[in-house]
Amino acid sequence: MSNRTRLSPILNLAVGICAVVAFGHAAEAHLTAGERSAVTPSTADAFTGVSSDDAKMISLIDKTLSDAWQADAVVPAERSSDAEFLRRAFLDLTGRIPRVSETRTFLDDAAPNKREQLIGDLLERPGHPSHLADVWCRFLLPDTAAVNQIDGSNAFESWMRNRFAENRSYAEIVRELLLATGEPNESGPVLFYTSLELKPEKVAASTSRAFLGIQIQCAQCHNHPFDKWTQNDFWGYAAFFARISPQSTQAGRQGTVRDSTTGEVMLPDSDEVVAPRFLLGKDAIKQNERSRRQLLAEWMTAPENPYFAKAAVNRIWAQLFGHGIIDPPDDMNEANAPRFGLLLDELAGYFASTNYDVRRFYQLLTMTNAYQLSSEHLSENDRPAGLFASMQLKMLTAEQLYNCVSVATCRPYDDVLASVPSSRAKRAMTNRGTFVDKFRAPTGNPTEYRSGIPQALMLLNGKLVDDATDLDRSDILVSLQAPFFTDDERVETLFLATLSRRPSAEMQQNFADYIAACRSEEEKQTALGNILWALLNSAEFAMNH
Amino acid sequence: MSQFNRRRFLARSSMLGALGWSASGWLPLLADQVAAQAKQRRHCILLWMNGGPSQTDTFDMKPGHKNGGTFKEIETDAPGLRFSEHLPGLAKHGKHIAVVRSLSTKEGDHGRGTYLMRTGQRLGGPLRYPAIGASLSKELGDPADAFPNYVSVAPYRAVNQEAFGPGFLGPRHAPLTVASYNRFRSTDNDDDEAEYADLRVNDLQAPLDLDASTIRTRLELWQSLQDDFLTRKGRVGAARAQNTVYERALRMMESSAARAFDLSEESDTVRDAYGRGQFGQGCLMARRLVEQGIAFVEVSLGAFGGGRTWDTHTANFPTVKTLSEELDAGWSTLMTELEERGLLESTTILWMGEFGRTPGINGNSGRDHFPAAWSCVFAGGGIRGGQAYGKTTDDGMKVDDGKVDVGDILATLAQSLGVEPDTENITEIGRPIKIADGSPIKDLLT
Repeated sequence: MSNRTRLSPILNLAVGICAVVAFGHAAEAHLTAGERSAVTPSTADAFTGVSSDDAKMISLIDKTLSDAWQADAVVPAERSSDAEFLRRAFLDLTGRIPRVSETRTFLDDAAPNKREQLIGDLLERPGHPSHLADVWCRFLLPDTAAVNQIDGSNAFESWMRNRFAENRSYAEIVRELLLATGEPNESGPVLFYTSLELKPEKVAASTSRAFLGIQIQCAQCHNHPFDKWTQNDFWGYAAFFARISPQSTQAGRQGTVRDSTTGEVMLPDSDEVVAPRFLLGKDAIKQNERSRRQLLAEWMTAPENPYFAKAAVNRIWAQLFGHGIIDPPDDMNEANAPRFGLLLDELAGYFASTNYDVRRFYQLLTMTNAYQLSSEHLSENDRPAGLFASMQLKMLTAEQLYNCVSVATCRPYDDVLASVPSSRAKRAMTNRGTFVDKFRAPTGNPTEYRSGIPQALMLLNGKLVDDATDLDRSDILVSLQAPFFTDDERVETLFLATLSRRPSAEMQQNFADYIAACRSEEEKQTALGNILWALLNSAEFAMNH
Repeated sequence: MSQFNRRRFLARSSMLGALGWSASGWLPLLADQVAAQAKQRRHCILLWMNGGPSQTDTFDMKPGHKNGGTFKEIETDAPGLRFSEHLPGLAKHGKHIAVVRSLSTKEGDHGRGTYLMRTGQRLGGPLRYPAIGASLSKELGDPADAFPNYVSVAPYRAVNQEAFGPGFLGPRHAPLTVASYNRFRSTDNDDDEAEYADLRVNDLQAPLDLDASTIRTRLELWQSLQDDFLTRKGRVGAARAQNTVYERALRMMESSAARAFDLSEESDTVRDAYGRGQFGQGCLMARRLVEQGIAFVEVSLGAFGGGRTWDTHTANFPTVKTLSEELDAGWSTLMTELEERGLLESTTILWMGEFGRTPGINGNSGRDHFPAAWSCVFAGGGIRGGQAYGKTTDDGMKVDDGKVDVGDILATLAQSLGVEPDTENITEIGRPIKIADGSPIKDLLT
């Protein structure tokens, strides 16, 4: 390897200042007064490794996968480099790339267990619940024109974020969501119902997909074409949501959501009332003093429910690996049997046994060898996605891309959750909103690149990157003008800031030659701006790999 | 290029730029292939009328009835087909124009109506539906083109953002947007000194303070990073796709097709014939884009928030007269020029807004929102012109004959372009969605 330049302490200080300022700003604004006391800066020491149960699960995952690779004669990718792992863990657990100082600290850390320490550290940061809230909101709230007009998506997000920040049991979060009452603006989770217009069939389709990972809505009009669900199964399930008022609210009109004592569902085009019945259950439910929703919530989150934990672990797996054990992750059906079905059952059992501890589950998966494999591929089919023999390349979401440009160029976020507009439509009017709106892809497969020419033009020529690379306005370029930097250090810092790694010796040389050819200080500044521009437009920057 | 050469190139490129070096060798340029195919393709131009235009004062007049208002009817060159007196240019193209006078829809709110007419679906459905421009350009265009297949000129999206987007089809099918940087309209400036509407594509050009050599250097640096990453990760999946799309965008920036956006290449005579406002200049741009093979272009007329719109709750008649004149100049010149170039028969034009306006005239000499019985207009390729389809009652209050809904209109549009309206796109959750829910109106199709 090349002889890498170690940066002087004063350089670390200079870049550190910009990082601290920016991070301090974001962290402050993310927190309400009550939360602020709960979040203490965590240190590596606070992380003390994993329990023996967790260690067993980790080896089970890795053993199961490596057996399969052997059986299929698939050569797994190498273990990821530290830099690759660092960037991946930051993006998957906190939704953004690391800052220069964070990258440098990690890369230069000689501790053998630094990856485990990093995972523990990231899971304790305020960015982790914010990121999870972002991921789950996108998944739970339908991305429809009407929903985006409704006020309350900020209340929903902050409700979700607080639950994850307190690391509440996943089952408890789901129960709270299913039993939500009140006004959307005041009570976060109510927006879930409002967004589905309180229609039993819509709530049924959404909850079964989101929390059970099954698509029973095909059985709304006819028996499911290739799965066991009948039309009566669907409407029997939907009947649990028949007694919520106000009924038949149009999306966009807000009202207080509460349980009522009347309301039934009927088979389409008939007068046949369908009584509430659990999926796979034989008998109609005996109504008692509890509401239908309460009955459903208990059934849904009971450890005996064969779908609940499985759907959750598969979803988290898919978020981290870019591909579910069952894939697409919300379509478990008999025709979509997984290769690693037994492993999935084990994971589901483990998740339930930890009282659905989300943070612990993220920790578990990120500590596996499988998660820490490199994303290198030799060809399109060398390592099929479902075998997890290498990491998938995942596109950053629009929000992540915007945030990462801010982080890379040492700018504060301008979208701290506490101050964002209350509906998605209003949010679209902000700078960040305009950007996000233009890149917004339907939720779904992160391994697909969905953008086109207008989006590429926006990055190549648009205001975001232009400001970020402007010699007078770009915070990072301004800070790199300090005279104590060598050109090598400047190039290295730009790589660390954007790609979270040091340049290869060859690239370092190429870029250094380019700068060395500059004939004036001004030309040199322009050259650094050009390098930053190229880095921000690179595929490597736009991806979680 | 070897790494060694690349390094040398990087070191020298800014110097070469300063000396006027301009050969563009860093990416193969294939852009001219786009233009070569233009004539084999089908195109669509949507003339979108913000605010909801009055059918009674344009294409479904009621002379002699008290609802008829103050405008007179004139003959067109198609026997029996009559338009408003303020559309004399279009009257000369009557044989290529088919009016639908029996459109009946259910949304009388600007936002909801705009969403309905542009997507074919009512707001509140379970999905974000694509604008018809996104669905049709997806079918008509070639995904490998170094040019987006859907261009939207000066849309007023604030009325309902979602009605102008690609919906579940994803951002690749979003329109390339041409923005208007000054808002005046042709009729505001009758003297020779007046400027033209300033229409520009967002982000098509590099920021102004960058010189050509800087741009070239940036691209060279970028290419070296791309090569490095793609070599390490394998040219697979999302990494390859990102690179391909960037190359297309970069090719487009350098392509002759991109010059279609530069209206200064046209003579003042031509530009004036279209009208100097954003609609007229937008129609001219639409003609230039169709010549380059672009599948779907939409041009908007009527600006909310300060400008004149078709939303004529007050002073209907002077406003509609002005807008009609602007419409007539742009649209009729567009048809003339497409015909001269042999492109009219491969280009279908649809004129519509979010709804019509009340036949009854209110106390402010205005007309209010009216979706129950109104008109839209087809012209050009695939359309049997010279006719009015359907009929409203003498007072204009109801559809008397041939009632059609938005699905039928969009299905007719698709069919006239040779696209089966039943063509399905699959949503993220695996649900098949047709391009248009409705039946093509057979009488309108050739």
